[in-house]
Amino acid sequence: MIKLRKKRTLLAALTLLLSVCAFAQTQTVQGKVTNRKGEAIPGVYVLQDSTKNATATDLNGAYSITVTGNKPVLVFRMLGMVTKRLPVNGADMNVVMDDDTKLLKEVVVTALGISKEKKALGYGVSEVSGEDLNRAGETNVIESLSSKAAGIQVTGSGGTPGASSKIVIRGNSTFNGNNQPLIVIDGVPVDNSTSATNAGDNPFNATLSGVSNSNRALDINPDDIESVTILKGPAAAALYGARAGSGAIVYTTKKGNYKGGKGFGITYSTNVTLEKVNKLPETQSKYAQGIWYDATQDSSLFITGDPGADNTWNTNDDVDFGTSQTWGPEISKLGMTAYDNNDAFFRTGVTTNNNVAVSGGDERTFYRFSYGNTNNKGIMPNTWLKRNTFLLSGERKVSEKLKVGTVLNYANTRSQKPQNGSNLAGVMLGLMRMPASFNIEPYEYDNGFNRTYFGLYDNPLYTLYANPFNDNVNRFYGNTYFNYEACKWFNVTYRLGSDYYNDDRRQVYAVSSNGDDNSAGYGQISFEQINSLQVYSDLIATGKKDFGENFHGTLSLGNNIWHKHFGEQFSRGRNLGIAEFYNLSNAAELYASQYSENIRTYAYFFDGSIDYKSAIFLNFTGRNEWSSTFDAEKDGFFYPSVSTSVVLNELMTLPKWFNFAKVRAAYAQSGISPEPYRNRTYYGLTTTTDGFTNGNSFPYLGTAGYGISSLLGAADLKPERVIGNEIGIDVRFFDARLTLDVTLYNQKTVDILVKRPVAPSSGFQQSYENSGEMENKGIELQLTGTPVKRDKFSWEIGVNWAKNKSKVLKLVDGVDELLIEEGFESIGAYAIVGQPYGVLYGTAWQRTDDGKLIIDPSTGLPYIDPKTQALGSSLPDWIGGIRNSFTYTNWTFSFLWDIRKGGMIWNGTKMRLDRLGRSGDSEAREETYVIEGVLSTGVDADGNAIAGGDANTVAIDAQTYFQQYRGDLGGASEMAIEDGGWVRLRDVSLAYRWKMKENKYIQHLDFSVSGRNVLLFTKYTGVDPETSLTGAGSNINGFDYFNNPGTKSVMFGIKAAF
Amino acid sequence: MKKTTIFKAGIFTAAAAITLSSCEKYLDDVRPNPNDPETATLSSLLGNIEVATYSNFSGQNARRAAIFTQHMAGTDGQMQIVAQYNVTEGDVTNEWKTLYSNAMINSSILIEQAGDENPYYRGIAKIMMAMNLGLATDQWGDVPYSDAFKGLSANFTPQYDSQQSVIASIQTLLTEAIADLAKPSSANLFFPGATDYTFGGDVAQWTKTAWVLKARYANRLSDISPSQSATDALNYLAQAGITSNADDANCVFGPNGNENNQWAVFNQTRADYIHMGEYFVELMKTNSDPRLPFYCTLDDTAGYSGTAANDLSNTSTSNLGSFYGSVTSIAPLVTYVEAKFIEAEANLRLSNGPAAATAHNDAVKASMLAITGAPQSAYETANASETAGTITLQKIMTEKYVALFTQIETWADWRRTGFPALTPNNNAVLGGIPRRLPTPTEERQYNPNAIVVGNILNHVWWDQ
Repeated sequence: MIKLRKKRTLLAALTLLLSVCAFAQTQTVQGKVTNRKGEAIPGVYVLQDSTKNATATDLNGAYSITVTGNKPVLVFRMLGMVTKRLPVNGADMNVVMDDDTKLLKEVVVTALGISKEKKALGYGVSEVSGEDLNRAGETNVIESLSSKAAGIQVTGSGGTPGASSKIVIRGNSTFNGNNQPLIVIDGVPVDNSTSATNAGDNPFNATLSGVSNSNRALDINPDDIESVTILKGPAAAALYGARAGSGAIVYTTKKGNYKGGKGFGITYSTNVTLEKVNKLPETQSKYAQGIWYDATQDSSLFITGDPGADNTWNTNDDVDFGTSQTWGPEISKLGMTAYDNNDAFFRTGVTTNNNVAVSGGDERTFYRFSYGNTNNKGIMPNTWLKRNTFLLSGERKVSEKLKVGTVLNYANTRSQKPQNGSNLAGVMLGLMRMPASFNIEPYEYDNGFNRTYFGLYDNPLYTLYANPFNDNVNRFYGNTYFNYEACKWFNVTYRLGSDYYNDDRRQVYAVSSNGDDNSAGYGQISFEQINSLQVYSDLIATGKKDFGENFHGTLSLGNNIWHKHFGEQFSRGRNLGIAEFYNLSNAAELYASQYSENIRTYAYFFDGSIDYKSAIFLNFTGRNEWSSTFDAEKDGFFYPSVSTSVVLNELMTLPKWFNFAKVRAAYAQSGISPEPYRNRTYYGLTTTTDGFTNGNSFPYLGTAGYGISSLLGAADLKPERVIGNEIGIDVRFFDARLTLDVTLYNQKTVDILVKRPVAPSSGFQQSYENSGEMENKGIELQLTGTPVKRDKFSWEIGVNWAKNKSKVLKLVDGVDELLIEEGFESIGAYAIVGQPYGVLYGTAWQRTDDGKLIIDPSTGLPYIDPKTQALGSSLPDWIGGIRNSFTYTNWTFSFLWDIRKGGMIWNGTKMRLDRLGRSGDSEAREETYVIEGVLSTGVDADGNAIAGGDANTVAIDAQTYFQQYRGDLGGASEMAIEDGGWVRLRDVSLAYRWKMKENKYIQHLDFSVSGRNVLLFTKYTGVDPETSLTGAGSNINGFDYFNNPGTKSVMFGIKAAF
Repeated sequence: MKKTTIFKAGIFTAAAAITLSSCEKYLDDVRPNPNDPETATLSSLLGNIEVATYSNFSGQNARRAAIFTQHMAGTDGQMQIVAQYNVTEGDVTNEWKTLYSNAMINSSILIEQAGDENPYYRGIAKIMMAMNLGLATDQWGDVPYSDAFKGLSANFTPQYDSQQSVIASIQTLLTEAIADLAKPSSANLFFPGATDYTFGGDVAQWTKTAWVLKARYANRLSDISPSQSATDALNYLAQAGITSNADDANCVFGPNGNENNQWAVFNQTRADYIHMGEYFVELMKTNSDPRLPFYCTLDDTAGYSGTAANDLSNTSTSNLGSFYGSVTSIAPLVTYVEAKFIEAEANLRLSNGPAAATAHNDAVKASMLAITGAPQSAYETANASETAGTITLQKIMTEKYVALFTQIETWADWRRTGFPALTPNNNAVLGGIPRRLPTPTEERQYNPNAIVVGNILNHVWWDQ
């Protein structure tokens, strides 16, 4: 105690001494800070340079500061405004600050985290603010980009918890590789893969069934995002080399600051979202289950599944296996009730989001810590998603020259997902086919076994409760960086990033479920462990030099190293001894498989620019990369870019209302790397199947069997190369109240790795060759306008519009059509020379030259063309978004229209429901149908029908019509092709900010209510046409086969800033 | 992946950034494929070939043939479409691929890799090649062989060989196989064993199979050269030394889900897609055939019935029974019963009545033993007591049709002989039962040398 008192005395003396010393040079400066219009700016941070002496302006923009020392300099700093440094020149200093949004100083984050002045860029970028990103409360930061920038196409895969969203920029660049952009967070690329659980012995495309898996950007907390930059073309992303071919999306997280002189701040936000199914296919509720529709409506024609007294299927006392068909008599005539099973099945989904962030700092340090919690209960019972995220970021200026910073993220994402797609335990398959004569409840018998209308399908409620899929992802990612500013013109940055996650999955199929691999109802459990690690290192040295007064140059040189490991271990147990006990030890039959891949690359790069009077810019980059994916290659692969920007208003005098005009052009080459191990032909454990069953596989009778792969490796494998040309203009009028940004681009991908299909009689089915070529030509337009701008009221409009024309130019010599990915027997997604990428390919009817169907007089049905053909493109003609925002005092009202023109969808659901007599249209079955067309006079030797002159008059009964013409019991696949375009109110929100002027603790409270997908206009007859059976992990687009439906939602939110 | 690994990888990456000297090693360390080997052993190749062969003879090829021959009836899904004779180029690609880019390419690799040091492996591989090639030509007529399986040397457009020369090649392969298998065991470095699921490496059994196969393909030419084909067949059978059902070559399945009989798995996962055929069940009922309960399950009314060929949806009828339809049931490839029927048919063609009748009677009796496990005197009295005076081709072929239930041979037999006299489905898209399969899509699209046939009513060369 005594000691302490002594210290205090000493301190007091010292303070006194210092203040006496300072007193000699003390001076008080005061004044007002305003903007160009003379409006006061409150909260401007006023600092005496090189000291900790600071204050802030009050609500009237006034400040007063006592400065000391020789030639003091004041720094005026405010977020969003240009910082001013002024030497003290008297006791009164009024200061005018300029908005930083003035284009001259706009800075964007580009490739490798390098910030650049926007006007210098020779290529188009789009930016989306964190606020816009989060307006509708999407859980997935990919989905929330939808229709918010020109030229990006986002496709979600249904409204179930954690279902993936796919994003494609300027169309698809490659056939089989990754068409999605590189996702970068705070300068470091992170994993955004969507991986389906894949047993080593599964011969089929795992994305056609199973669950809608998550894309791993789901682990990002949207509330942590400050802004997003979209690097659209090769020119923007070229510095990422072989990972840049599909563009890049750069997310920047919120950072702490010393805003308004306040060293510490807390924000807290909470919101609740209520979610409902927005669209389902029409079904009929008039007729009961049955195989044959007969006008007599005899009650014996009603059939339903009955497993007998033991309530167990596939036993001797089974009374009736039931049927998938709904061609029975009228339900009312049977004296039965028609059930609304959809209503009983779906529920209102509820999502709560809570975010708390603490941030602050001082002149040398800033930090931010945030915690986010998302808790989602899905629209289907017993499905959910829980996400907890933690982010800690900070930066410190260790000395005048050295800055050290770090961003650390931890996320835990867990979910329970429903079965999807072509899956006997699939919920939509079981639900949509369920006849209205069957009551979905109870979904199980007393013995806990599946209660269903057809022994082969699971009751959809049963599958939700009894067959859960769970995933649990623990993810740690972030980076640490150093920046050393050796002198004014030279600095060095080093950044080391890492992204690690473990995805722990479990899929259970209960005893009595049909979901197991053999549909045997014996029970099955499978586990998958995914480990993913990426380590990323960037070393960048940057020098600046002025050449005379007018020329300025910048050059960065750097090195980049990347390591990636991905591993999965799959294990499965079949035939469970004890029902509902899910441990591998309980299984009579065990299987395990593993897959892993490793990639390493290193590269050197440069990034330089020269400008003349800050008006004409010439930028050039280059990257030379070596990768383990290819054979040892002395020279590696080089990816160059060159671009220019000319700011006309700096060179000539434009009319006063014409504020800004820039023209730009760019040329670049970037790459898309094939997956590893494609440069050799290997042997593998083969699974032999004819496609109807899972077939036979190894180990077989206790032995291993290897066969040569049916896919030949490419000995001279090389990266695919995306060559991009783009030009654009950027103009602003009337004090930037009208801005227009137009980009025209022409991108061509060459050396696309093609799985060249070869005649199987060669002993192989495919051969890898770098031979494909595809082009994407398009236009992107971004327009913003402020029609009204008053003190209290403003109205802003933002329009984005993009049209991309994709065209496959070449596959491989002698091949004009190529399957992109395994699909269904009746439909495939193809690359066809001269057609857009991903064309839907299937069977069509034979037609006359003028397009009429040719009808077989003996059956009254048209003929299927023996040759399958292109049926339409799944790519939209154009996509656009229109946002209107109105601000009135503290109120903000904003809504976004999202328009997709065209883009075909294969509605396999509809065709099957027609066939089964379950579709809404098939209710009209008491009449006969005459298919419009001309009668044939016979069939020629090639199986082609010969059209006669007479119109068809052959009437067919409804069941034949719906099964064999409209349905997939003989109907051509073209019957399922529908226009998937839409106009939708993507989001609409009303927000109110309550400024707590008098309150010492709370700065403001924000209240908001918003809706998502509130309105949807579409010709598509199935679920919401923003749908994807195969999800983001696949290149197939436009497949709908009992896809889980989309949702609409309303969100209520409160946010408080302390 | 533990934290230390992340740490190590991080340190290594950082170190690599600074030193830069170890770059090539840094890449080389991860170049090997951890998932797949670049070579395979003789034993693992043989296992793979046998499993692929089982698929070819008991999978979709067998179901399709069974629907065509009305052993079975298609009642749902794709089987319903087969029952309408609506088989297009895309429907046959999986089967073609399993033949060419699995069973046969690996047979050709095994033949090459076994070489002169491993004649037993080479001999079995040649039999496998012959058997699969035979199935290919029976279904598609002219098919590639002499120019096939050369993808590794970038020949992706094999020439098609005429069926005549393909069958000659089959005979050559089998002759060479028999010679290989006749070598002393001391001539072998490695011996086939556990991965020869059919015979466990017993080369004497394989030799018998090879001779019967030679007889099968000699007899196949009954329309081309009636007497020479019969003489050749009898000559081969004489050397076969096949004496009982114990000499049968079968597909062998196991109890684990991935080892199961594909008829059984199909009926589980595609329940009610396929039922017993009415013609076949009625034929057996008329004869009070004791094999009936083995071949079919009871129907919905506890009797035996089949679905008519022109009825595409009746599923109240019998299903495939337990003998061929259980998860561990065998599926026959080349049997003693078949050998005896070939002997009967060939003798009859040479007007050798007594021998024909004896062989016929032996065949029926052997089938009774094979299926029911015991002689069936009532049936044998009625149907296996033929004499030179009573034996006819129709009798032989009809009994063979019943005995070779589920086997693809019956479709070839019907095409050659017209027996049994089947009535085509009159609700089909074609006016008759198909007589071949259409050229698969991939061959039409990617092989300009392919001989493309789309009309499945066209006859193959031996089906005159």
